[in-house]
Amino acid sequence: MESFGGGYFYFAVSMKYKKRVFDVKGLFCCIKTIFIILISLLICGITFFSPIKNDDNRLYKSHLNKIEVQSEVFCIRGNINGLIDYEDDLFNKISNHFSSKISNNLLGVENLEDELGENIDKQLDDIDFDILDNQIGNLDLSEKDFVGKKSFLEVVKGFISGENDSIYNNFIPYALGTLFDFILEYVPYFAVIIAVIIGYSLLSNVADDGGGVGRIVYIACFGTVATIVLKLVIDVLHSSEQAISLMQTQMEAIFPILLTLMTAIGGVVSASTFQPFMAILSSGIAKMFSSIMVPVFIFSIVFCTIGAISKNVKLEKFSKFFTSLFSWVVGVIFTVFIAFLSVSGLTSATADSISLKTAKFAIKSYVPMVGGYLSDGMSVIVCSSVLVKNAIGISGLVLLVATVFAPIIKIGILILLFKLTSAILEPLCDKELPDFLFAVSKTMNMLVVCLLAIGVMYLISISLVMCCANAL
Amino acid sequence: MSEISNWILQITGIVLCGVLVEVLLPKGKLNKILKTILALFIVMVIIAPLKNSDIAKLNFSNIFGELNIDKSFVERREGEKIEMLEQTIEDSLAKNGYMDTKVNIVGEFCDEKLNIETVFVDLTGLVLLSDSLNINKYTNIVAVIKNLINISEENVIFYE
Repeated sequence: MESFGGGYFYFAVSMKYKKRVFDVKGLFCCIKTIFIILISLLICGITFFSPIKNDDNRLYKSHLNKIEVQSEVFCIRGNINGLIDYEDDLFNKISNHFSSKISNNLLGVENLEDELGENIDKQLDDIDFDILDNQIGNLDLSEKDFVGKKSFLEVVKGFISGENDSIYNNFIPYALGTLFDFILEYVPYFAVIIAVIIGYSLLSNVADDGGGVGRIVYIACFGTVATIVLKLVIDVLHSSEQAISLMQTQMEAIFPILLTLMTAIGGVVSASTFQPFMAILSSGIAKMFSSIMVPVFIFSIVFCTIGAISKNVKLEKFSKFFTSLFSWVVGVIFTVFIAFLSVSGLTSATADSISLKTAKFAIKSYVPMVGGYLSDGMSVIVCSSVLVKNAIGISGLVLLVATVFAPIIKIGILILLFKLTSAILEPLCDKELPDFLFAVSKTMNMLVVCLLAIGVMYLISISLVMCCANAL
Repeated sequence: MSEISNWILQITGIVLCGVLVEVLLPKGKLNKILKTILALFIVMVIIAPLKNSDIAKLNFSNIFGELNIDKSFVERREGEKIEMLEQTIEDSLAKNGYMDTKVNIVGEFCDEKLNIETVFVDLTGLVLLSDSLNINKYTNIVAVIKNLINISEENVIFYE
């Protein structure tokens, strides 16, 4: 089309200016283009119009095939009916034999289910859930609605019996409700910040450039903004510290229960492998985050704030130093912990599954399957321990989500609002105040990283425990 | 945390002094000299806690906390497993015509393996079915037990 257009244009221009320049190239392009168009039309015509006949042919053939297939089906049906007519007695005898077997096996299944249920109840009564019940009792109303149960034991029993679908259904309303609650709570603060800074920018235009009055006005405005910002930062800092403390308490309560159940099942190697890692996580790492990482965050925020007071007092690099220090320490802890835990956990799980199976055969008490269902009493106890272990593990994860979700959302919303406010104010005033707000938002990422790091390490530990020692 | 808050207050105070100096003093060489001196003060205040800190005295022994496994829970489960095994043997003996026997297994779990030392079979309440009357019951009972658990004949003890 381009060659056609170019050729036509060239030709038209030459005609217009009556140059009578016979443009061979343009003419050749036109002819070439017309030829291509005709060929394309021909091909299209063949492909689009011919299938009408092909379709007819195909339809006709498929109709023929249908008749043939139907006739074959009729033949087959006739044969089957004939078989059934002649083989009624044999068929009835076979069905009676299998129905009696099935009813016996169903009875065996019911007895097994009762036995399993009794074992599970016995084991749950033996475990102390007081600390975890207190954790659920101390949750906010929205978090309690999400969990849906009043005690940790009820959550565990719900997972064992499969009646905890409400938790999955409640998550999205809980998440959206939390999100919008925090947005509505924090937007007024940012409206005040924007109003103060707009007022300052109007005043600064009136005041002398670079004079003492201008500096004093700036310091007054900055003082107001910094007070609001630090109030918000302290609020999320308290929430984060509380969440870390709650996670530590949960870990100290759940990990011994899971290790005990794993030992009772027979996963001794796994339990001995996981014990030091869980001890490090629940005591060492959690304490390190609360006593070292959180102060590092505080220093970073303080230097960020103080450095924004005056252009001459520059402390930005100190703030960045603490941010880098934080990133390095968290990265190293996280990587080393997860790598060691995953590799050693999986290898010990393999060792346990092999030794569990060999131990079972070594006892020679592997009673032959009766009616297709396991009748070994020891396996029923192990089964019930496995069910209890996995139910406690997943209940712990639900409690973790209820503990950590709200603080993370809160911090995330504040970060976004700080960045949005900084973006709104950037064209309205000097860059110091928007830069300060943006720097605060970047520093608050450290709190999110703290919570996520501990939460993910906790989640991976519980997931590995749930995956291990499940072999029967 | 009080040390941290004192440190932060010191830094804030020095910086505010620097801001006041910047505002109050006229522009000139003196202003620049004072700014330099204040900057040095600020750096000294920031670095000063490192000299007096207790980094050398930090105790890392508590980093490995203790997680104790509830051994009584494990022992109860192991006891239940042995009871289940005893019940299985009694049921098997009942199917073979030796009703109302009481089996007591003496053994312990080493890691996940059950090491059975002795099996006591109490025949005081034994009820024989008519088919089993003329057969040596001790041999048959031992055979039934050996089919289920890996134990030698000498470790099966009967008492009546």
